[in-house]
Amino acid sequence: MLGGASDQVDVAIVGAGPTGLYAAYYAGFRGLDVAIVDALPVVGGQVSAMYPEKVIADVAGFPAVSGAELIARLEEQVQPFAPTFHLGQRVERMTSRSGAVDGAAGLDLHTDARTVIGARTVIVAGGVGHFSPRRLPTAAGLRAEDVDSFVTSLDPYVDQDIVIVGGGDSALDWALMLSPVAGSVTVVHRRDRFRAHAHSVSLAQKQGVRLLTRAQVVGSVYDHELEAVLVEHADGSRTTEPCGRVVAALGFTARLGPILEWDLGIERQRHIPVGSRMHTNRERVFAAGDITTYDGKVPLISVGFGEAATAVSNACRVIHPEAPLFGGHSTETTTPVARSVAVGEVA
Amino acid sequence: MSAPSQLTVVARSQQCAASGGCRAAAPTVFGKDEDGWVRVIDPHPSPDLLEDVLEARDSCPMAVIDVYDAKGVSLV
Repeated sequence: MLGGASDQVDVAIVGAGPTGLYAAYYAGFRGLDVAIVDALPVVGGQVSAMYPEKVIADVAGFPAVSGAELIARLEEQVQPFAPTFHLGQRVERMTSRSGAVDGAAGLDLHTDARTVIGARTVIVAGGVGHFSPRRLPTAAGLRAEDVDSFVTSLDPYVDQDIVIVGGGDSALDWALMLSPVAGSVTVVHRRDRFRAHAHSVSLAQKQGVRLLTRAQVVGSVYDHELEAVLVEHADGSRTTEPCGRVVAALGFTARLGPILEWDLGIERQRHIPVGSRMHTNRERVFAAGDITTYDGKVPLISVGFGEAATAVSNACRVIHPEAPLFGGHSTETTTPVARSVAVGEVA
Repeated sequence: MSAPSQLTVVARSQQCAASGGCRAAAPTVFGKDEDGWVRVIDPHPSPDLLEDVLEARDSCPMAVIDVYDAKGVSLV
């Protein structure tokens, strides 16, 4: 567990979406040590949850980039600075420390995993709130450890019978990804039509993925380990489908949640007012990205990147009052850059 | 597959981005206020509209719509 004055980081970033990841990179570039927290088990925030497959056309330098690729690039960009990631944890409370006792003024972030992250400054990059995956009804009786809401590695699925529940792009993309390595892949979808691209649906069929429409997972069969799920069909009949692991691609719900209680003067229950330094009404607390508001605010990823750099630069002044606001151009420093980017520049 | 006997639709309008996807999918259930943010016109639509309501929920880029059955279970 982190926490306490002695091991506090320079900057704790709440939210690992595009803005939070870029803030982590920029803080690393400025020589600050960083912790970054997100409620999702993966980085990318709203982009990873809602539109990893969609093409984004308004990020500078990328005429067209998929959400997933943009996040992968941001992850690569921040990687040389090795921030501490606290994924799958939601920050519940933010408390201030005056530093009167030990001279280490700052804040403590308390997560729902009982982690306490001590930080000299905080940047809230919470977007539209924390995303929670929609879950299968508890009546299905599945144990939490047998159900994934993201596919982040193929390893747990090798030679397994996989049931994917859902009909969107993620459900079909994961079916396509897993079918070459899994024992079998079955997609169970409540409705008779898929939201996923028709091309993905026909590819899945060609790859031998079973598609069960107008069907629901209503139960499970355990013999120590998960053996099968019960699927109820539109005509009321039930079938038993072999299953060692379930992927629930059922979408997400977003809520601002605990941030509303952090005394940040939230407006309209959704936005943190900030000044030109991206500072909030709380000392040492900055904000960036879609969660912020000010006169003339435009909620775009590209704007969030700029706000992140401003927030980090001003947080840096709080931590190191003697430091310049502007830390120089990345072209003029020996700061490490992600390897493939460096190679790309040479090529 | 049993259809739910009653539906409840909830939309967190304070997080709406005014994309209009919900209104396109289920125009008798979702409307908008004077600023364009989502407003639920019919919080308990007929179960016949289930497909449309789920389509509206899934088309929301901000994930602010939830649909529940009579027992308060979120429909997936």
